[in-house]
Amino acid sequence: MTTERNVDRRSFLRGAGAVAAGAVAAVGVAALVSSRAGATDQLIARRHEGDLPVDDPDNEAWLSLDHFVAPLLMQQVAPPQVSELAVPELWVRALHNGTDIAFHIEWGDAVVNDIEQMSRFRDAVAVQLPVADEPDAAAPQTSITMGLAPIPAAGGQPETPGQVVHILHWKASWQWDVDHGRRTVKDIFPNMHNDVTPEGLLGEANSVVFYPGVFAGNSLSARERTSPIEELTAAGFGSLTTHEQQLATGRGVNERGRWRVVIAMPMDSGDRSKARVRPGARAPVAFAVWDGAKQNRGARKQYADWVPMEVEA
Amino acid sequence: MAEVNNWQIGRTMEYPYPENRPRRQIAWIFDPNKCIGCQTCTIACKSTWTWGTGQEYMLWNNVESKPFGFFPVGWDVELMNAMGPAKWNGGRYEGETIFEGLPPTERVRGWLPDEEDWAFPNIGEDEVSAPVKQGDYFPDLPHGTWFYHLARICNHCTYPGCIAACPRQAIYKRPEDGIVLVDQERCRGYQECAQGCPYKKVMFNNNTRTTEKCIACFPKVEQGLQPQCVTSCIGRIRLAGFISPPGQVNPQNPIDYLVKVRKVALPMYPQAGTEPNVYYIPPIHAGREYLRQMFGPGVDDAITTYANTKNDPELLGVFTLFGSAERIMHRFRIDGEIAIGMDENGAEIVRVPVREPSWVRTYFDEVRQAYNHNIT
Repeated sequence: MTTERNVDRRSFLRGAGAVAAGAVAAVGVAALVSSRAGATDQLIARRHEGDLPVDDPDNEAWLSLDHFVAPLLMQQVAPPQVSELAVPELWVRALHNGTDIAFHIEWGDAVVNDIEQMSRFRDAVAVQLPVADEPDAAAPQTSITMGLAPIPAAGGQPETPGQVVHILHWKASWQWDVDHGRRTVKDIFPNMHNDVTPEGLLGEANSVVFYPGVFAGNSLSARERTSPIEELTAAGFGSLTTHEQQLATGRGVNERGRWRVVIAMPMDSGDRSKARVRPGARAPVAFAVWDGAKQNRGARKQYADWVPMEVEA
Repeated sequence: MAEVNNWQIGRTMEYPYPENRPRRQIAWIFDPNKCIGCQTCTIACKSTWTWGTGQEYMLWNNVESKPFGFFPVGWDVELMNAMGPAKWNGGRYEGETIFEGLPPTERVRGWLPDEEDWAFPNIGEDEVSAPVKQGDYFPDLPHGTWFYHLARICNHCTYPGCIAACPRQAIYKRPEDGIVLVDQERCRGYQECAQGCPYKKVMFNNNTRTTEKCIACFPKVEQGLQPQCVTSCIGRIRLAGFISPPGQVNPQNPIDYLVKVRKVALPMYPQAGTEPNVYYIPPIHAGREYLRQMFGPGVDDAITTYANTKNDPELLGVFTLFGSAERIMHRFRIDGEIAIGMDENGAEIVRVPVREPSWVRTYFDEVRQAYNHNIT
């Protein structure tokens, strides 16, 4: 990165700070209605007895918790980038019961974008954790850039191992799928008429070849959806890959112009390629958010740097 | 950014990936002079590949009337707005391509059409460039008022805008034939490719939520056959084959002959820098300034050559091979009044008379003492 770019990013940070401060003032009113608790300067995953309120973002167990304010940055490390800070901050709360950990993430978004269509994008939020035996919360060694790809041995230098991150990605469009059944073109264009469809002519099983994303097993194209959250891993930009084991659960609702999304996962899935979180330890977590109305998608996003999360014993 | 050679703009240019040409590059010649806008190609493509739900607004092949037809609406006007007037110095393009002079936020100079821009595939159909007043007629070329049909598919570019725009390398160019495909397993539906493609030939499927595009009928090409849009064309305006790499010319290859030897077929909007592989014979009746903008500085020479086809047996012979066989013709030769298309090994695929036999009757039939209305 050039010096010039660093200057640009520093000047942006000052601007983002001002925007964030303004937004904090603006959402103060909403805070009164959505939460009786206040803000905290440390993210603590509180221990909760029994099942976590995974499907209920309005549960008292959530709203009675203080929220941690995670300031967001525009993704301006690698193109494609955003040039407008669509979401200045996230409010984060966390609970665990020794078996599962759940994040409750809240942000202001007056326009619900839950349709994916040509030139239309959906709202989304993600939690990122490093995949490491002993993640260092105080000084995370994993790059914020969705991990790092390994660098092959060259010029007498040994191979530099890559860094892997575990990402839990909630999508507003998937939430619709779970709540109402998968969208069809009729939901997007009610007056659309289709004379004949492959499935109408050939049946569901035989028509799959006409739906290449389904045929290829792409998670985005899945016909049946039980969770609005996708589990992925990555080792650097452009390497995001759907994980074979999908265990994450959660739910998101948008009320009074704010998304409240719960994202939950097992603290130890038993799979070494995923992040593990231990009670009594600290873990770095990072966040990202997308505003569909601002054509946010993929790398065009806002992100929060690593937050040292304390997990109550 | 790597520096790559782009022969269509007569210079090297910046591109995110190093030059890596396929072993063979598929290419097409389209002749808008012959196109009647019947959309048989569009339906052939639609009914073969994009009749599923979620593909309702996809036309991998479309035919639009220029200058006021577009699919999606205004695609090339937006391209011109983004790039400005093309600055050519002879065969060398002096301006910036869509890969050069970029703001740090972008991988390609692109734009995303509005959702409704995909909903009017026949906008501007048969609309002429200017009003026609009563009594107007156009005896000379180019015509004072004109329109022409522009058939469009993915250009399977040598330096695709979609590949440059995709942040996760989910689009690839096949080394065996240069066909550009979206990896349906890797695609995350970001639509960066739709934003980056200057020709707007990558489209989002709202059912599978991945991006799809023209696949050049690769299952046919793998069998040595020309794509559906080519073989279905009733006006025989299309020819598909393989073009030799820059610096190499095979005058017996019909694609090379038309593009490189006779220079009668030209790339569309070469200034974008993608090195598109669909070549057009400029319509001789349309406004030259408009055509120079669309097909570059070779337009005038191409039209001069094309307009003299009737006195040019070899050129005429190659044109008669268009639409004459389903198999890909790698070579051709003209044997007197017969044009012969051949496969890779030189085996004959088809022979076509360069001039169809015709009989001209007299205007006045002396025997029957009657006038003939139809004399050919």
